[in-house]
Amino acid sequence: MTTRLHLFAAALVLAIAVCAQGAGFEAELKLSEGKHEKTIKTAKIAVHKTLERRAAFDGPVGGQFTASCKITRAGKDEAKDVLVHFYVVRIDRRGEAPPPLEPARVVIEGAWTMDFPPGESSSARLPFRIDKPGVYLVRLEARPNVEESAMDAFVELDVDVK
Amino acid sequence: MSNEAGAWMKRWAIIAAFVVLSAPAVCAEHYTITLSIEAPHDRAEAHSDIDPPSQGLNPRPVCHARRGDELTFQFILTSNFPHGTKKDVTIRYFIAPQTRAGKEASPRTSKEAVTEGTFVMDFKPDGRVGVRQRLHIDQAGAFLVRVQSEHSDSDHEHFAALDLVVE
Repeated sequence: MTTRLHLFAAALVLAIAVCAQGAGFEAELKLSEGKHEKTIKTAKIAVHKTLERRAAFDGPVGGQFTASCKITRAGKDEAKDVLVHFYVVRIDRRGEAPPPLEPARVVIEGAWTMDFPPGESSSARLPFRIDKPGVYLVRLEARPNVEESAMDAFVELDVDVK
Repeated sequence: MSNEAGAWMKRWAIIAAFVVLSAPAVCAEHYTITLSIEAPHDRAEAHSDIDPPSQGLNPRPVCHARRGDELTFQFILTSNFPHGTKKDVTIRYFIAPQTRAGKEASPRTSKEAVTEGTFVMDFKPDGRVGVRQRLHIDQAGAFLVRVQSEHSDSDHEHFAALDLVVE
């Protein structure tokens, strides 16, 4: 079933699918499971740039993971109608490009929209559990709804669940 | 009392009654919420309610599931506040055990929650937030499923809640 949430996220994402010159946001993603924790910070990654090797994280089947994420406006102007999008999706192998978000593969997906004046930030804390072994992509992205950039900031990591 | 004074009082009584009766409707304009949980053989959906009172005004729908069933939890919360941006609002959602269906308005402790997440964000008019999550619950019992606004710079908050009974 295609849910309204998926439609809401997909419509906003598809509406801005052009080239990028990212510069306007800083993204931070912290993933934890028990006492194990990893934080990734990044910014200004252009969409056509080759993806750097993703950070990796391991966890047990049935482990209680928590993703804490923060997006901050680093540009000097206000970004309007920004879609912040977070998801955890099962992938077939490490380093695989972000796949289509088929509901059966998505563990959790969150999205929110807001304006970002300079320096403004927004955060979220999203717990989830993974019950099947495999590799999962955890991704946080911010997409302004203007020509400025299509993929202004994102962070992602591969999670091996064994 | 003169007829004129009587008519004046009656008019004010009607106005006062209108204000009191329409207050919940005015409050309900800030956020619209659709909260749902779907089990293999049942589904429940709840909509915006108002706190106070903490348990709200509407009865909670009930969804039935079995231990280990795959459940799909989802909510979409949209701001209807037309007069500018609400800053630094917290949106909290959780699924937590309760003594019995329809009882508690908030979880006994955060540690007991099956899941509990938060967003801190600004809400412009039509700003929205949503989550969709697949999960399992391995223990039988009654659970409260709730999403709520906090710190929204108002004398009331908004939430949607439903009961999940796992057998």
